[in-house]
Amino acid sequence: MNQETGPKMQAAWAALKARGGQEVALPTLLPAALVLELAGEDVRPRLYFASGPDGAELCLRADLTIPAALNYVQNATTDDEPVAWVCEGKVFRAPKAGEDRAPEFVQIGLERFGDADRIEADVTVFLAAWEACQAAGERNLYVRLCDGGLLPHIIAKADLPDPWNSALGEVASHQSALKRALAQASGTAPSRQISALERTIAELDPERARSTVAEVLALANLSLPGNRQLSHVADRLAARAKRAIATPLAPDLAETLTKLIQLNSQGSLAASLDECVTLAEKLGVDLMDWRQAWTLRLDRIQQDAPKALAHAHFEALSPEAFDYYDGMAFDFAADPSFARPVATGGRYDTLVGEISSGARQARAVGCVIRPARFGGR
Amino acid sequence: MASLVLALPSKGRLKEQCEAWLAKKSLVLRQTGGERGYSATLDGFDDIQIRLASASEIGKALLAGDIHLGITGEDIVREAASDVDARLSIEARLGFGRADVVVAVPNGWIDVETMADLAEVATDMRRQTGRRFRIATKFTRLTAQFMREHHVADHRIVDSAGATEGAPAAGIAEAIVDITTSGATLTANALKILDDGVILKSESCLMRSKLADWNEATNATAAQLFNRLGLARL
Repeated sequence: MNQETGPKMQAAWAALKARGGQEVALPTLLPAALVLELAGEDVRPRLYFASGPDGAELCLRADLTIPAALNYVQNATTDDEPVAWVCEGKVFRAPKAGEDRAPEFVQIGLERFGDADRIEADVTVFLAAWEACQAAGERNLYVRLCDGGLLPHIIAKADLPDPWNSALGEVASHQSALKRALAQASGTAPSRQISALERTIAELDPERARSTVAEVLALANLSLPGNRQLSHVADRLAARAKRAIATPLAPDLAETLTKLIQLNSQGSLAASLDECVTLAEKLGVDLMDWRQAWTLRLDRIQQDAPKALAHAHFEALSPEAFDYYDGMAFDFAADPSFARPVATGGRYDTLVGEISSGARQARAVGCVIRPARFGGR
Repeated sequence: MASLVLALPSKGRLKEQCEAWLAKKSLVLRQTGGERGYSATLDGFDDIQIRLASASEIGKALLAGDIHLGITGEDIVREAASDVDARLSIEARLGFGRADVVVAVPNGWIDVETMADLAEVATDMRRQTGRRFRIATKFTRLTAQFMREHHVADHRIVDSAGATEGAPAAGIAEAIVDITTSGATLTANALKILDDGVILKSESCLMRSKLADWNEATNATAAQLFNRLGLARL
C-alpha cells in the first residue's frame, strides 16, 4: 500500500462515503475539445493528450468534476434528476516548471446533482469534505469560503449608470476582467481615443448604427465570416465608444465596488458577510436573503462540525482557479496561503448545461480531497 | 558524440539560403550521397559532422541535446518547448527565413484593433453563445502563452495542420495565429493583424544546444567555426 492509498486515505474515503452516495467509476479518457472548452486553455499545459485509432483527440482526466458532470449528462433521464456519487481515482496533471510532484495522483470526491434544497446540499458537501479530512487526522486546517455568484448578482441588481452597468455586468464572474473593467469605469485606466465613425455610431440608435456599419464594410470591401455578425460588431463598436466618452463612475460607487472585490477579511465570518450586505446596500442592492442563506449554511456547519469554522474567512470573489464555481465555494489548507489545499469544493450549477450544450440542466455541488497532501505535504 | 555535429536544413529555400550564407564566409558545403543524401561535409572542417534535416527536426535535436549546433527558425524552437533558453542559446541571427507569428482576425471586425478588444470579444461570445472563442493555429504553445499575457480568458485553441488562414472563412475558428512574411496571404484571406498582435518576430538562427555533449575537442572545433564565421567566440 503506497502513501497515497494508505490508512489515512482509507479513513477519509470511509468518512466521505458516510455522508451518502453511490460509488461510481468515472471515465478516465475524455474528449480533449470538451475539457478545453469547459476548463479553458490555461489547463492545456497540464493535460496529457492521447489520440484514438479513429483520430479522436482525447485527454486523461485532470479532475473528477468534469467526468462526473459528463457521466450525469449521459445517464440522467430528466433535468435535475437527483443523484449523489462518491468517486475515487487517479487524475493526471503535468507538474508546473519547478513543481516537485508526481504527474498522477489520487483524488476522492463527492458530487451531488439535482438537489432541490441548495443550502442543505452545500452543507452536506462541505461537511463530507471536512469529516474526510478530520478522519485522516488533518487538524488546524484553514478554511476559505467564497461565493462565485455574489458579485454577478450585485452588479446585475446595482443602481449603476449606463454604460458601466453592462460593461461591469458582462465580466462580473471574471476576477481579473472585472478589475480591468472597474479601472476603466472609475477613470483610473487610460482612456482610448475614438474615431469620428465610432463617435457617430455611439450616438445613433442600434438599427441605424448597424446599417451604418454595413455601409462602411461594403464600401471598404471588408468581410465578416463565421459566427460574428454585423449586429455584434456594430453593438460593440457603439458600446466601446460610449465607454470611452462616458462620465466615469462616481468615486463612491467605484470605491464600494473595489471594496467588495477586495473583500478578503481574515476576521469573523459574520462580520465579513455583514460587510457585504452594507456595501451592497450602498449600491442599492438588498442582500438580506443572501445573508440569511449564509447564516443557515454556517449554523448547520457549526451544529455538525463546531471546529470547522475556527480558522475560517470569507472572500467575496472566487479565486480565479475556481472557474467552475458559481455559488458557494470552499477550500481547506494546512497553510493560510491556500497554495496547496487538501480539499476544494463548491457549487457549479451551470456546468451540466455547458457540457450538454443546454440539452440538460442540473443543480450541482461537489468536493474533492487530495490525500497526497495529507500531513502538510 | 565524438565530433561536433552541426545540423542544417535539408531542402528548399532555407537550405539554399544557408548555403549562400556559408558561401559568403567562404565555406563550401558538399552533400555526400548526392542531392538526396542527408549528410554533408564542410570544406576545411573535417571534424564537423554535418547532418541535413528538416527545420523542425533540427529544433527538436537542439532542445534534446542530440546535436551541438544547428540552424533553424526561432518560432520552431519557441513553439516546441517552454524552457528554450535553458536548453539552447541563439548565437547568430542570420537575416533570412524571416517570419512573424501574428494574431489575425477578419478585416470586417472594425471594432477589434488590439488584444484587449480580442479579450472582450471572447468574453462576449462565451456569454452570448455559451461557447469559447476559437483560435486556429499550429503554434499552440506560443498562442496559449500570449493569450495568457493579454488576459484573453474565454478562448479555445483549435489545432490547425495547414491552410490556417482559411479557418475563419471555413467556420473552423474566429481568429488565427499564423506566420506571415509580407502579410499578403492574410490580406488575400480578408484578415488583418492586430496592432499589438505580433507574438514573435522570427528568423533563421544559428543555435547552440546547452545540453549537448560539449568537451574540449567539440568546444575547440566550435570556436574555430565561429571564428571563421566572424561570430564572437563561445
